[in-house]
Amino acid sequence: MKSTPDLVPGEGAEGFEAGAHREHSLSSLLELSNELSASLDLYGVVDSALFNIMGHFGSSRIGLWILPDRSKKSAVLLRCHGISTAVARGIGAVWTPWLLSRTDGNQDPVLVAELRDLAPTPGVNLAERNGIAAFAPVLAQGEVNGVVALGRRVGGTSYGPADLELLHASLNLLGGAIENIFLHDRMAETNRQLRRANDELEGLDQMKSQFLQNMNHELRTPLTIMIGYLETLMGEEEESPHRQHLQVVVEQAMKLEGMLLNLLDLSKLVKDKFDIRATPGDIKSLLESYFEDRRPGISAGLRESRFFCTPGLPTAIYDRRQLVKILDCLVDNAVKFTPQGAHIHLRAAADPVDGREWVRIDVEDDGPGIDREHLAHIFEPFRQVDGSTTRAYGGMGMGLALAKLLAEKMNGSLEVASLAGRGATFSLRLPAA
Amino acid sequence: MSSEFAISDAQTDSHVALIRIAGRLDAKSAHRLFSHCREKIQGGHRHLIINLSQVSFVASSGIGTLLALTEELKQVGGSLRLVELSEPVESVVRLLNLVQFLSIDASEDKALEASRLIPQSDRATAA
Repeated sequence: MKSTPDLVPGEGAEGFEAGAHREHSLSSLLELSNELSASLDLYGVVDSALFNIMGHFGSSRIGLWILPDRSKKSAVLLRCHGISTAVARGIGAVWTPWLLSRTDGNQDPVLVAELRDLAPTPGVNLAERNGIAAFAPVLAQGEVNGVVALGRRVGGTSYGPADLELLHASLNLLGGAIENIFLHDRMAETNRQLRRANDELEGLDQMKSQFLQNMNHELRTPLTIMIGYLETLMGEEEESPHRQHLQVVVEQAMKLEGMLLNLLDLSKLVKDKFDIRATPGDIKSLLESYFEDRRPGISAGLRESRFFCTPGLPTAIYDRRQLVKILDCLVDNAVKFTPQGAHIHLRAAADPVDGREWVRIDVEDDGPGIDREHLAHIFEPFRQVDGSTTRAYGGMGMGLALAKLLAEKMNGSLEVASLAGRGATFSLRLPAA
Repeated sequence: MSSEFAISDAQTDSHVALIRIAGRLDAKSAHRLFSHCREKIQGGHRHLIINLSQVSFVASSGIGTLLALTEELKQVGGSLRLVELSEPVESVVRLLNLVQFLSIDASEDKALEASRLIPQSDRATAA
């Protein structure tokens, strides 16, 4: 380059040259906008923005301080170019608190020369000695999240109002990009913590399942032996006055064994290690026979029971043993939670849904019902309406959870509809053959 | 002139490094150039010469990088010299009135000569 025309950006540049300046400014801003949207690397984005601003304004010095926490008024030096880190820290210590605590709420850039004219201070002298001409807040959605110090133009001219507007616009872009990166980083960290928590929960869940299986085995083995000896004793003590007591002990031991088996089934179902053998069968006959078996027990508890079946009930696909488990659970539940004198009905009907045929079996009662809050959790394992029901009615709160999992395992469903004070209806759907 | 950015070390000794760049000097390539020069400075080179004859476009980030490197090297008693500016580079340098600040040479030989003429003692005291 042999000679240099006497170009003075922003002052007296007219015609072609003024147009070239405008074009340079616009292309710089556009370039900055593209650069900032391309990366989530904080230091890469910041360097791109600072180099862009330096190139745009023709300055060889710049520094950026970031507010790590908006509630605090202390800023941290993130990057500086053309100024040593020690000098930048000194400038930041004096200037950033002042900029961040401006009481007039003004977020416009500040020219050091204008402040010097108002009142020369050590801060002004420090900035000028190190070639800093302007300070400006970095903004994201109107909130300050950093401060930039921009050096003098190496070409010698001072910054005018149009320059400060462009600086303001550039720093708005940078502020938004920094905010996005912080948000992304915070989200990524939250996701990482959630993944870790989930991994820990899965580990605990596996431990729990293993514990349940081990405990089940350890409890059932002695229980089975006890039941065996008790039955032998009962056979030998047919005339004994203790026979009735023995009968109660055997019944309770068998009840305990049943609960342990349910617990084991639930554990297997949750782990998807439960074998179901669902085949087409005459559901009407099964329900009639089941109802006849259960009716005496229900009546003995002074609840009235009836069975309704619509004509032409289709054949259903089910595992007989598991279906009986579901029905036992639903009927036991109805008996347990209805007062004497209540009605418990078993209904079976064909139920076409979305072009598919189902057999629907309702177990319906007119007991106290279930309130909306508890209805949402009714099929969660080990949950009862409240702790007092466990004491009042017994049980571990796993029957309904087990019944629902068994229904789903047979490609069916189990739902409940209830209003507090107006009874409850549990509806089991099984696929028709 | 290719638009793909390329950077190569043309000649180096323990104090002076001559770097040739080609293609678009935009935000991405400016990062590469800055990192490359930083490595040279950290490796003990105090005088860098960048040949810009094959630069097809220079963005604001590219100019900012050259200004930052010039200032940084000045502060450690070194220098950055730019040689054989291509037309796109020259027009931005003129537009921003950077000629007085940047050290610009017409050829690599002149830049090498100017860099080597700076005595070692000056390098130390300039810091």
